[in-house]
Amino acid sequence: MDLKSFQDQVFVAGAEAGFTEMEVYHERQSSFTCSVYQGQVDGYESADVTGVSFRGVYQGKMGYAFTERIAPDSVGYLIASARDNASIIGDEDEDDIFPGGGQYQEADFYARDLDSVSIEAQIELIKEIEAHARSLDSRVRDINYCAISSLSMERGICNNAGLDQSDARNNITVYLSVVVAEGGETRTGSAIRVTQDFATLKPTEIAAEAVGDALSYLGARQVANKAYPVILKNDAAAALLQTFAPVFSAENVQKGMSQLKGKVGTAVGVPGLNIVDDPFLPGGMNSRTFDAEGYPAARRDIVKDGELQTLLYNRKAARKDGVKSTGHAFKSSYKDAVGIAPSNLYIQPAGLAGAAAGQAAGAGAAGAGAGQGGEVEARQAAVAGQGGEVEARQAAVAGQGGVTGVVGQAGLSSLENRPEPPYAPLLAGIDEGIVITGLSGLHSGANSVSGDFSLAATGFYVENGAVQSPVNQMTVAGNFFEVLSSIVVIGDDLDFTVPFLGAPGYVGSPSLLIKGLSITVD
Amino acid sequence: MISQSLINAVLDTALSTGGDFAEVFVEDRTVNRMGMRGGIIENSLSGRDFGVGIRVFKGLGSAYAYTTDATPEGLHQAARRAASGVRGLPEMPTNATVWGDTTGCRHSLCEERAPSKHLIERNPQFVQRGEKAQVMREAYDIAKNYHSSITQVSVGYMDEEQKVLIANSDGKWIQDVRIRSRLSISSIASDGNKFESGFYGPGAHKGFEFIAGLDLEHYAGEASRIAVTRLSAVPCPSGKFPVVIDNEFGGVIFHEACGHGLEATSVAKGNSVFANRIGEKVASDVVTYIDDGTLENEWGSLAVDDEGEPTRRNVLIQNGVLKGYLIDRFNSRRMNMPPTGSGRRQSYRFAPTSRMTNTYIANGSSTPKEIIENTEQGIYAKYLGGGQVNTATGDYNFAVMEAYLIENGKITTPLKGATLIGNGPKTLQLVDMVGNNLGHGQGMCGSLSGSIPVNVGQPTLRVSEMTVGGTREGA
Repeated sequence: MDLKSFQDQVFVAGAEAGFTEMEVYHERQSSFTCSVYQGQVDGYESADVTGVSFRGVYQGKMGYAFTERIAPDSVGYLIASARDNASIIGDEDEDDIFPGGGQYQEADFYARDLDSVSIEAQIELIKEIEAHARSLDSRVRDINYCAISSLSMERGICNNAGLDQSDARNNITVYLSVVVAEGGETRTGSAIRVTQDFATLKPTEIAAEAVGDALSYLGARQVANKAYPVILKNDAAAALLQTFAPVFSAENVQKGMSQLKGKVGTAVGVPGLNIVDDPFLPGGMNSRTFDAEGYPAARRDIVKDGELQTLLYNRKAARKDGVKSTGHAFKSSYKDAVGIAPSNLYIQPAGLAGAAAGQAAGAGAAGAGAGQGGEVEARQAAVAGQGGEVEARQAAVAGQGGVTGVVGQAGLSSLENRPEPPYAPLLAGIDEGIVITGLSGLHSGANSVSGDFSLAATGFYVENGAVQSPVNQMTVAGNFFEVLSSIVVIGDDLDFTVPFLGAPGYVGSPSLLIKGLSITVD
Repeated sequence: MISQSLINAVLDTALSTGGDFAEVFVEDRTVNRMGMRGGIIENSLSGRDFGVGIRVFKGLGSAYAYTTDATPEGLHQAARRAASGVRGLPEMPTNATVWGDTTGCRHSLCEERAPSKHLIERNPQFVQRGEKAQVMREAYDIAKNYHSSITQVSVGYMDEEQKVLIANSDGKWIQDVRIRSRLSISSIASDGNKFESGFYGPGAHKGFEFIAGLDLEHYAGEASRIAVTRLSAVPCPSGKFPVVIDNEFGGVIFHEACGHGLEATSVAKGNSVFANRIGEKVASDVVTYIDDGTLENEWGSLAVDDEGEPTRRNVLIQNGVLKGYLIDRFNSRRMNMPPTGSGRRQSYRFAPTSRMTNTYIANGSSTPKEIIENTEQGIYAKYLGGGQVNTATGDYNFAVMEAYLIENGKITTPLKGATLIGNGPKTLQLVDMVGNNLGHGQGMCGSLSGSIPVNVGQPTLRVSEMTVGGTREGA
């Protein structure tokens, strides 16, 4: 049966059962994923799925239920389950269905051109990437994973008060993971691209980035266990921000699960630190015109020049604090209850002002000139408009073409013209330090209540302002809130993580130089 | 659910481009979740997943399509999408062995029900929410009243009933019902400045009888005790130490350090550090590592796997010697080895692949007391958090939730912020004492075919040297 008539039946049945306010939310997703191995397709997946959730107020309480079976026999299940669920709620905080009436910004996150990219073209692309990666260096032992995934998703929300909103987005992701080996040492490296423009996917660049990344870790050694100045490479810094993003949730603050209670209007980071949540960020994987309650989405400064501007609110948390929703109601899918999460959240890169931004856009991230001047530029950036940000984003994307990570010493003749790593400008002036290029164990080694983290890390040893060698697997320990207050330089190489293990939000950061973090080396 | 004749026709469509094997997986899953904070139910959610996954093999290629549209038209369309994924692929080499089902033949699907080894007494779908909430409240009260420094307690409840039908072109037609229940308790303790947390989450392949029969004093008490202990913990020293890891969830270390590396997903292409090493000594003599999906009513147990294969007890490492891998049907082709009842998936949205079920280190001969007493200086890791591994390099890491110093054979100061890192194959060689108190802990394991329930287990054991990442230098 079609969604519209299902929706109508649900509202009728819900009203009969005693629901006053009612909402039906749906998601429809189609995707194609393919992987190749030794020149042959070895994984191929095609999906077309729809799910619907019902949310309604029954005797003053919110009830939820969802189904993936859009059929008449599901109507009774949805309504009865939602009613039983509402009846057990003990929470006295008022909750409601947004009746609508806000100002919605126009935006289109759906790139129609992507629909015309054939499956054959996608498979051809990853075959090329795999072949390139295998041919680049004799130390490439194998390809772990070489895959492409195209996704389009449409969501809609509609309620019995007349709200009716929908939006759609799509993208293509390419992921390559390679294994290199030399003298008994095995390392892996990867490259990932998320785009709405298929033409920007260059097989040679993607292969070179992953192979260069893997090779850069060969010859790893031990260094002393102690606190070092640390450069968190852009995507590692972003992963850390993503892990601790829940501290900005007003709900977590209200429930004593975040230390930002009473901190709005006070300094939470160094001057020059700007954190922005922008649901309209071009290319953002979590772009949206409305949040999970149907409330209009809008760009917000979260931290400006080091000062906390606002927490992230949905309607329920906002009512409790006597403020307006910031449009951050979130559910990971129709199966989820409404919570709070950022959309596209990022630390603003330095060097956005005028000429600097233009230069960066022209030269790619390799040409980024942050250095010690970064702090000053970051402050100027606070007054730069939206245009600057878009340019910086483009610069970051363009810069990704090169090999990130530092390339090892010998025998790399097949990988020519490698640009400097994106964090190169931050190296200047570091007598002894560590570059962290990747973090793992984020799901278990971080405590978002205390801010403490102790995580596994990969990276390099720095001496006299230059990268000297890769380091064996490390742990890096510190505190998120202290990290925000001990940033020495903000780079201008903004890059984003991809959502991992269901962590919400699309989160970005430039590389950051941190005053000191504890490092332990295996 | 869906008639045999329709499934047969869909299998035909799936094979229409030259595939040599096709499979249909139908899933109808009902879930209930409730969350309590501050002693009141804050959220309660119910839902029904319903979808179909269709898989086709041709030689060493496979294709998968899934849909929520279970109409004949929707199913055939999905089957055509899967079929187009293997079009033009080379056939299986004639000298290769293909393991299949010998029980049936095409067009005479043999109806089977999975053997009901995991008996369920009270299907949670028929238990009132009020009764479930009552248990949550009891757990809350125990955890909250444990100590005056406990500021916040969250209790989570989950039950699910997953009905599956697996039919394939070898004539298999098997239905199974999996019922699981879990309670989780998270406590937060604060002294006004610091906030620390503790967690315990017992679960089983059982009905509400499991939740109702839980020793809440123990589980809720432990969650709070961990949080309170951590308040007085001092920063963990960093460096290399002997580490004694307690039983139950402590087994997550071997789940990461070697379990994932023994899954066909990483072994089949030779990219695991354990590939092509059957019969070799990969661990110290005291290590015997087993994956057993048949353990009665355990969290990671299944009557049949998600390919319809009965689960079994797979000895992976015996007295340090590598004996076998965990193999799914597709990878069995690449590896030329039979499947081991290890094909699992989160839902119809994932093609199955080789995964763990209940994996554990078998009992040794030492007592936990002896192990501690024989350790002059070291770290005692009582409860571990989650971990992660790179199967190509064997490098793993995991967080320690509750840790102590061992000094002169005695457990002394509590430590916080400890992360253990190492390399799987190296760590396996360094296990030098294994206790006799095997216990199992419950977790969710995320990998290629999604997030699935698994047990990790071990007795108390000692690794003679591990790298401990902490914040205190040079201790």
